[in-house]
Amino acid sequence: MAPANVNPNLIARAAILLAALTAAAPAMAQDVQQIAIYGEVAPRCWVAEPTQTNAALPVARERAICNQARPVLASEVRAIAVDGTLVKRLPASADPLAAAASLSPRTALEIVVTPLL
Amino acid sequence: MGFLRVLFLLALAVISVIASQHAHAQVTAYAVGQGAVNSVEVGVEVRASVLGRCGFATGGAPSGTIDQAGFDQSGFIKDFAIILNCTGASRIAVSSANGGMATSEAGGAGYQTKAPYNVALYVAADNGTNATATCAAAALAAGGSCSFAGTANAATGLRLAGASTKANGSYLRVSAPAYTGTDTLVAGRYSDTLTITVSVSP
Repeated sequence: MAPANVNPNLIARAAILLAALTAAAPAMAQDVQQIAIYGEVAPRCWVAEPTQTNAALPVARERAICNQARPVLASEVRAIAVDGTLVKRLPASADPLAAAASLSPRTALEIVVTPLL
Repeated sequence: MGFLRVLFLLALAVISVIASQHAHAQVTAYAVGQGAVNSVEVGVEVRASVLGRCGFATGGAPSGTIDQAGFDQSGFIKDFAIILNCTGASRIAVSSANGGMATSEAGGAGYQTKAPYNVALYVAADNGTNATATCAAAALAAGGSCSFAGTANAATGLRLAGASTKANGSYLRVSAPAYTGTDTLVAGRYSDTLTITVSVSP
């Protein structure tokens, strides 16, 4: 077997380098954590510009807005008195001008929109 | 003549010492049976320095989830407690996967598929000092402008100057008021993932 030439200085330097690397490595590492955030937006429909109060303006056909990605179907229009009672059911296709003519000016129109699933 | 003799003996002694030191510095070891010297003893001086240790304490990492139904109308707020284990100054950074709560539902003109929310950081040190900052989640996405956006390192993240090794009331807060954006939020399931990193800060 060949003899082994040992240089103590070389071994000492290597040992110091290894020790330094071992000590430094954990401190350099990052700690990582994740958290998840969830939420839900329910499907809803509402009437666009429901606060039109200027009597001088003609009654426009109310427009429904829905937040669903799928199409929706407006099924009917309800005329609601100031006390909240139902005055009249109108088909969604009814002419609002003609329908409103027979109602009190303080009557509210409520559009019921049914999602088309 | 006597002086020369003394000088000669002195020189001989010096040479002897040098020769013996050289013999100690360079030793040849042989396998058993191959030579007189079979082992070498080497004195190794080990020097090491330990830099500041920093991370989440055991059980102190922010964890859990929030799941808020109807958040567009109610808003939400939730605190995630943080306990650091940092023996020196530290930095903490946050990144958002979506830059807001996003849904996979189809959008369109007049509709929005990403809901904004805010992320606040409050970190406190053992000596009573603290650091705090708030950013919109949009500013925490890749390349975001938030002061603590990204991955924590020596120069990135909210810096806490003092050591923090116990429960000091640090937290990460996510919150959003009721949605008031111009475009309508599309109905559906929304989500986002926040990644929080902590690092030593020299």
